[in-house]
Amino acid sequence: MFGHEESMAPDDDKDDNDLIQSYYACDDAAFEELVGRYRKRLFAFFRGLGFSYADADELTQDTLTRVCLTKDKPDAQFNPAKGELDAWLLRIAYRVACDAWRRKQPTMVSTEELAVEGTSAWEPADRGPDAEQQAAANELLDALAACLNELSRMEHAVVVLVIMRGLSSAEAGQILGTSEDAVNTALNRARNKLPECMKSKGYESVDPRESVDPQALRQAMAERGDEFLVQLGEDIVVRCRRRQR
Amino acid sequence: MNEKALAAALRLLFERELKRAPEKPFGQGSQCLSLPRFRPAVVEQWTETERAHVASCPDYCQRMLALSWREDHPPLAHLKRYVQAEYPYPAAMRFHLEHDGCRRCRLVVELLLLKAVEWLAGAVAVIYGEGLLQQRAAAFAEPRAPVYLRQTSEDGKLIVTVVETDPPEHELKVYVEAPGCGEAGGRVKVTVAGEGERLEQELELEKTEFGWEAEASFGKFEEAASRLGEDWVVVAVFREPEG
Repeated sequence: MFGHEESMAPDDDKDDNDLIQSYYACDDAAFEELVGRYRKRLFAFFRGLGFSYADADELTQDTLTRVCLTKDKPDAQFNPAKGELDAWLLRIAYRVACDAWRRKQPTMVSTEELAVEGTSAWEPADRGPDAEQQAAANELLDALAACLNELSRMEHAVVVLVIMRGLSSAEAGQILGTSEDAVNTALNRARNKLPECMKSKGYESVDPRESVDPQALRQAMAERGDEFLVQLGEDIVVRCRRRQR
Repeated sequence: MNEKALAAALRLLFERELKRAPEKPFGQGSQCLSLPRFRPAVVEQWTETERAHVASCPDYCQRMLALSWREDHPPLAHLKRYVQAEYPYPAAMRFHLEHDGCRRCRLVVELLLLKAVEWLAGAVAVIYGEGLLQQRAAAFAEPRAPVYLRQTSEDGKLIVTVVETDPPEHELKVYVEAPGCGEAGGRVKVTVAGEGERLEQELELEKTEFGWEAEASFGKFEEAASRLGEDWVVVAVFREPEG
């Protein structure tokens, strides 16, 4: 389910189901282990949906709290017969996002705010060997994040789940509570809108991959173990070398 | 920008957010409680050390306490202590009332501030109905479902049901059952409060073949609803018979 992130999972004997069942059997340490496995992924999920860093932090904790409270609610507990734990977590996380949207207009982050956030305490200290190239890549990704925020919520969520997280349309439909056809329709609309939006921000002919630090990208893609991405990373490295010559 | 490039950029965006995810949640310190310690069943069993820490930790622990109330509202006793300025975790309650804007608890707090409900008596049942009267905007939308709300008090001794009866009567009625009521019977004060007005009645419980029960009509539904507004809270408080 978290297809592109397998390498994020720690090497541990207990699988997710073992951990949550241990937690239900009163082992709070097992819950902490689950938190360690999923907190950053949930944070990135909420960021992908366009929430600010502060809101993503709060909604991540909200999701984990709701998971925690299922211990006292047998009907709401994770049931392995109904699917994987990560899909169950994403369903809860999406409900949390919908609640947040209902509660208030969330702090959707503009390109300018992203630039400011990028220099705040949230920004990782190590920006890599080629800061200029990294900055260019960040600018492009900021523009893309701003374009995502211009999509409808359904389109936005579908892009996050299907393209960014690598889920199938059927899996995304289960999480969003809609049909596979509806997911595909939203995905097609988003695929039409995003390039247009990027064009309006001056990214018409620029391949975003060329702005990326080749070493870091190659390493990141290899870690993902996704053949397409590994090949993509290699292509970019080759093109970057040509440009440097 | 072609589709492959777009997909690659979107994945990189996700990777970037994953890298930027903070190592720990905002405000969390080494003494902070783990999330399972904020389960309602556990909060009442906190040690003195835990209570003292949470009281001094508005940024993380009180925020986590408030997050646990997004699914289950804070217990009535906590709201009462907050109104009396005796609640040790006020930042948590402010987060719930102001940041989360919980309308149910705000209405209850308003009733407490107005001293409209008496809390020292035994069982208290609270029902919250949000946007009860909102009609769908589209002309072809289905009509609104009749109001039907039912709630049991935290101690299980009082069950309250709020009903919009069928036409032609079409009244707002409240039914009270008191399975925890002793042989002596008792009274129940029912307060229906909205953002508009507050309606109250005091009911004498009567013994029936099913136990102690009472019912009250608050008049024609449309008229009562127009006085109450969109969101209601119904509070029923059991009172032992005097003497």
